[in-house]
Formats: sequence, structure tokens, C-alpha cells
Amino acid sequence: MFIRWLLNLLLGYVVIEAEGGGVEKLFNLALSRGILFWNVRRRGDKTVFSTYPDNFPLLRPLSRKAGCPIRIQGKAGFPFLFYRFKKRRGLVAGLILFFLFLYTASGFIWFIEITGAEELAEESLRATAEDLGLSPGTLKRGLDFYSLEREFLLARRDLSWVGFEIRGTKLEIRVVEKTLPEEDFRDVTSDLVASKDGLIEKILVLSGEARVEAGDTVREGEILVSGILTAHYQEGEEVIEGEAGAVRARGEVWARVWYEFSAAYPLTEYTRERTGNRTAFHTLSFLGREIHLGAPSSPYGNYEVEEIKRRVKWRNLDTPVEFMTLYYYEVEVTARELSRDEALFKAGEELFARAQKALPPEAEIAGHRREELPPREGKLRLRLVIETRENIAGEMEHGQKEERTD
Amino acid sequence: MPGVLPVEKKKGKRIEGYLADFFELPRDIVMDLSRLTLIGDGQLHLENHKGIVEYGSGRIKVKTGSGLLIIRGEGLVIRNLYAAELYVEGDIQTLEIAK
Repeated sequence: MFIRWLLNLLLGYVVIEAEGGGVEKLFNLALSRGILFWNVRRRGDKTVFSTYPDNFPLLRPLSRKAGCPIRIQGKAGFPFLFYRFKKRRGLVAGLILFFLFLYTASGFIWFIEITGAEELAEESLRATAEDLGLSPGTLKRGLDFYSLEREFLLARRDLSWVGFEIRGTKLEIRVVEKTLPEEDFRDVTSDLVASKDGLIEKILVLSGEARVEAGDTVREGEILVSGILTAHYQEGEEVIEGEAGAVRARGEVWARVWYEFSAAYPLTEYTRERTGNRTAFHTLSFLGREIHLGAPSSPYGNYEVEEIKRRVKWRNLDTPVEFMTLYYYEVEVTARELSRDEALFKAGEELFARAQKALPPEAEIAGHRREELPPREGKLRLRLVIETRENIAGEMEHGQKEERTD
Repeated sequence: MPGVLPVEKKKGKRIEGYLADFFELPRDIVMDLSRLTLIGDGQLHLENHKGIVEYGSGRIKVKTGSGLLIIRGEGLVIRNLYAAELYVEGDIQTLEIAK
């Protein structure tokens, strides 16, 4: 039915009014000629029906034959609408112009949205886009976003990725900022000093003068690479040493560093275990007043205490009444003699945990040695020596006492 | 066959009816009869009619292969009026076939 209705609307139809009693004859005559009707209804002594407009001239002679005059009551459908539009050229022109405008306008970029910029100013990214010819009002056609992305990235050193996406008339620029390493570009002069005691293994000087060499033992705070340069010049037979300016010392000094950890572990281990016996003491507190229900004291020799506080509630509402219970648990303490291996293992575990905390993460472990010391006071004693290879060069600016740690 | 009013063929009809039964073919096709479909009391579909005899909002008379079909009701409207098809809408009250 919908299809029919749409078809009728597309083809257009006329509503015809027929007068008199010969309507049936008219219908039969028309039907025999293949003329179709629809929406036939009676309105008083008139009959109204619809048919295609082309049929109307064919109906004329038939109506005369049937003796029932007909006249067009109404016209509907697109063809008639177009006919009306023909007479209103301005309206049609406006309509066409509107769609033309809409079509052309949709071919441009009207909005630029930038997402992903956290540190960078959106304005500067917008400016970069504009330099590449991407600004509101740019024609979308002919833009090669793939190469534009690359150009954008080349133009911005502070971005690690950029993506363009067109959504209708909106250009979405998504950026990922580059995290640049924080470099210290201060104009200072400095020395490299040892941050730890160690045995120099390798020395690499980028700027400055080495004061130590491989094989030297250095103490913490000793100058490894000096920023103060010396110059040698000859004066006759004599070679004179003099200062030739200062630089900021740079380099790496790799040294062997030893760490020593020791741990003592008792050979007797005490374990506490609850026996399951417990005594409870209740206390009621109300507006700062406490009412003890029984004097709290432990009936056990070895015990643990647990306190549980509970506010008395009444239908989701807190009341100022608090209920406190003290639980005394009886605890059984058992002493256990540990075997030597067990104690060693436990002490080793402890040492390992301590070493992990103490060693700098960048240190490279070169070796370790573990030795047992004679037991004292019933405790097993263990010593762990870890040898690492690490960069011990720390920068100290001239005229500064404290070592900088950045 | 638009416009061709039926010519009574008593003998032929009998044979056709017999054939239709034998071959289990629908009678409306074989014997040039009308097919009426009434949906509820509001829509009546009439296929293979032979012409309208009377049209009014209270009564429609249509010629069919088996006689005159009289549709009585209120606010009767012919939604579609094609050469062999008729579709009536409205409050249909009685259907009568006058031989």
C-alpha cells in the first residue's frame, strides 16, 4: 500500500467528481478500457474518485456516453507540484542555490580540532597547520593527508606522532607529544668527583682533565675529572704548568665498588600461636563516658590483645553509643632450635632483601662473596660482600661544596 | 479480460467444474469465478469481478461470475477499482449473492 501511495505521488493523480446516477456505467466503460480508479467514495449525490491525470481526457467521452458529467476536483502528486514550481522560478532557483551552497560548503574544512596537546599550546599547533595550508576555509579536495602528516611531523620536533582525520567539515588533528630528555644546559664549570669509594676500572673523559687512572683507589669526594684545565708551556729549559681556564667536566668513571652487609640470626626461633582461648571485656561508651563491664586485665601469661569498636546503629542512623570489646587471646610460645642450614638460609634471605634495597638500580653486579662469622650470643652471623661495577662520577660545580645529585 | 461481460455457458461450466475437482485446481481460475476475501468486517477483496452495477456509500452491487454480489454497510469506499479487482473498505454488514 505504501508503495502504491508513493507511486501515485510520483506519477501524480487527479481527484474527479462525478455527478448523477450513471457513475457505475462510467466505471464499467472505463474499466473495460483499462482505466484504474481508487478511493471511490460517495459524497451526497456526487461520487468522488481518483485516477491518473492521463486518464482524464479518456474519461470525457465516456462520461458523456454514461450521462454523468465529470470535473476535476483536485490534483496531487509531484508532477503538479513541479508545475507549480515552474510558475515560481525564484523559489526553485533559491532551492537549487541552497543545495548547491550546502554541497560546496561541505567540501571545505570549517573547523579544526586539536586533541592530545597537553604541554603544547594549541595555538602553536594551529599555526603550524596553517603554515601547511590547513586552516578553516581550506578546500578538502586534493589534500594528501598522508604527506601532510609527515610534513607536520617534520615541522614540529616536539611531536612524536600526528594523525589527521576528516569528519565532515571538521579536521581532527590528534597529536602525541614527544617527551624530551631533561638536559641541563646551564653554563657552569664543574668537576667530577667520586660518589663512592672504589677501584677505578675504566675512565672516559668527554671534557675536562682526568686526575685518576684505571687501577687507582679513590675515596668518596675525591676529584676524578677536573674541570680546571692545565697547560704546559716552555720557558727556556723550564716547563711551566699553568691554569688554562675551566670547563664543565663531563665523562664516566667506572669503578668497582664493594658493599658489605651482615646479618645475625638467632639459632632458636620462637613462634607464637593462639591456643583458641580468649576472654572478652566489654565497654560501653556514651557521649564520652565509658562504662566498663568488668575490669580489663589478661588472665593469661602470654597473650595478644585485639580491640573491636562498633557504633550502635538504629536503622542506618548512627547513635552516640559505642560498643567496644577487648579480646584477650591466649598465646602459646614455642621455642624451636634451628638447624645450621635453616638459620643460614634465613639469614641469607634477610641479607638479600637488604642488599636489594641498598644497591643502586643501575649498578652491575660483578661478583659476591658470602662468609660465615663465628657465632656469638647464640646467633649465627653472616656477612655478604657484593662487588659491583658502576659509574661513580658525580658532578660538583665549582664554588659549591655539596655534591649535586642530578 | 477487461470489459468482456460473461456469457453464460451452462454445459461448459459443468465440465470445467469436474476438471477442476479432478485436477485439484482452484475453481475461481478454472471456472471464471470470483474470489472474495473478507478481512474482519472492514475490508473486502473481490477478485475477478464483472463490473459495477450500483455504487453508494450504503450499498454496492457488483456483478460476478456466480451472480450479483450485494455488499451492504456504512461508509463504503472503493479503495481500488481495477479491471478485475475490487477492494472495498468500510463498515460491512451483509454480503448477499443474488442469482
